[in-house]
Amino acid sequence: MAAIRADRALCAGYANCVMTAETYFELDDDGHVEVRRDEVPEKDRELVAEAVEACPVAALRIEG
Amino acid sequence: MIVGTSVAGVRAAQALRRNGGEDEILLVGAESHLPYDKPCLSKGMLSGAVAPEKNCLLTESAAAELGIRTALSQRAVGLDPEAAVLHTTAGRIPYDRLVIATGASARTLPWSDLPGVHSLRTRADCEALRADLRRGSRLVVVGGGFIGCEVAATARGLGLDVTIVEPEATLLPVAGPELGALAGEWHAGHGARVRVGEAVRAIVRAGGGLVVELRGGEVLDADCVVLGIGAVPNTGWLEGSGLDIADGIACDAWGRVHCHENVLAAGDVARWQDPVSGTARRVEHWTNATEQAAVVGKVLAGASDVAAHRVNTYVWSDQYDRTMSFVGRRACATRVTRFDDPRKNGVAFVGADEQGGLAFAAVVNWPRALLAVRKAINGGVPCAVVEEQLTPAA
Repeated sequence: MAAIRADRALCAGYANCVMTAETYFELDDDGHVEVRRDEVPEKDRELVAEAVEACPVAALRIEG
Repeated sequence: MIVGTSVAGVRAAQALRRNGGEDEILLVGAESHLPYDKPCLSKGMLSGAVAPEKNCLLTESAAAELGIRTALSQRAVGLDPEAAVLHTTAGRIPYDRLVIATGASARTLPWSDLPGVHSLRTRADCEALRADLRRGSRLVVVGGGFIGCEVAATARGLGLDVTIVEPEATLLPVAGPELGALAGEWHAGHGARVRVGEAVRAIVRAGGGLVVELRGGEVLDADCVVLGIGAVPNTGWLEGSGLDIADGIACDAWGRVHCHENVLAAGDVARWQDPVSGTARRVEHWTNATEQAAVVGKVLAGASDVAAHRVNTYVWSDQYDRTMSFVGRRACATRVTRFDDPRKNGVAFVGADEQGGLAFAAVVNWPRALLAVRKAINGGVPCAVVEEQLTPAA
C-alpha cells in the first residue's frame, strides 16, 4: 500500500490538497496540512496523486 | 504530443500516466531548461533563496520513470491539424493526439526593449532581472497586480528603493478595492512608495539610468523597471491553423478544441467553456492550469464520466509575511463584509451577489477561512452560511 509523506514546514496553507482529496488531508489551526490517513489503498492512489501534484510548494509526496 | 513545458503541459503528461494511459509522450518546449514552476520567479528565485535547479517541475529521472521524452529548445511555429503535424524551429513532428499548453507571454509597452526594462515570465527573465536588482538600487514597478506587488515585496526584502505605479485606484485591482487598500498599506509600511491612479507616460534612458515619467507630471529615477501589466496567450504560432484563437484557444469544458477531436488545450493559452456560467473564459492562474491538466489527462487516458471542469479563479500571492488569496469574481459582489481572525491577524472579505450567493472572497493569513470560502464557492453555499462560519464565537 502507498503512503503519504507531508513536509509541514513547507506547507503554506494553500489547501489545494484538501480541495482535491478531503478524506486524506485537512488543515490544522495554524494552516498546516495534516494527513488524516497516511495509507493509501490502490483505488485512491490516483486521487491522492492528483492532490500531491496540486500542491504549489511540493510539500507532499506519495511513496510506494 | 504535448507542446509547452508549462505546469499545464507537465501535469497533463503526469495525469495521463496516472490514469493508466500508455501512449508515447513527447513534451516539446521552446526553452532550453527542463520544465520549471513560475510562482517562484517573482519570489524565491528572484531573491536568490531558491536555486534554479531546485525549481523543477519534471526532473530527468522523473521524466524517464514516467516514459516522457522531452524535445527542448524548439519553438512551435505552426500547426497543420488536418495533417496532424506540428511545425517547430527544428522541423516537423507528426502526432496522433496533441495537447497545446504554450502558456502566455508578458504584455509589452513601447519601452519594453530598453536596457534595464524587464518583464517577468520566464526563468531567463528572472535571471536577467535578478542580475539588475543586484546592481541597481532604485526599482520602479509598472503595474500593481499580483506579479508587480510580489516583485516589489521581494525587492524591498533585498533592500532596494521601490516605487509601484498602478493606474487603478488601489493595488491588486482584480482582487477588489478592499484587499487592494490593505496591500497598499503593507507596501507603504515596508517602505515602498505606492502611486495609485497613475499611469506611465514615457520611459527614457538618461545618464546610464532610466527615467519614468508619469502622466501626473511626477518623474521617477530608476536603475531598473519591471513591467507587470498582464499577459497575452501564446497563440501567434497558430495563425493559419484554422483553430479559433480569439483570446486563447476555444475549448469545451474538457479541454477539447472545437472541431479538432485529436487536439486539446490547457492552461493560460486555453479558453475553456464554463459549465456553470455557460460562457468561455481564459484564466491565467496556476491552480486552474493544474486542474485543467488533470481533466485533460483523464480524457486522454479514455476515462469515462470525466466531470466538466469548472473554471477556477483561485489565486494566491505571497508578499512580505502575508499570504493573500482570492476566489470568485469581485465584480459580481453587491455587498462586501470584512471579518477578522483575532488570533492571527487574519482578514477575510466576503462578497455576496444579489441572490445571497458567495460571489467572491479575499483572505489574508487565515487558512481556515480560505478553506471555508473555497469549499463554499465550489459548492454553491449561501454567503450567509460562510459569514456565520467566519464570525468568532461570542
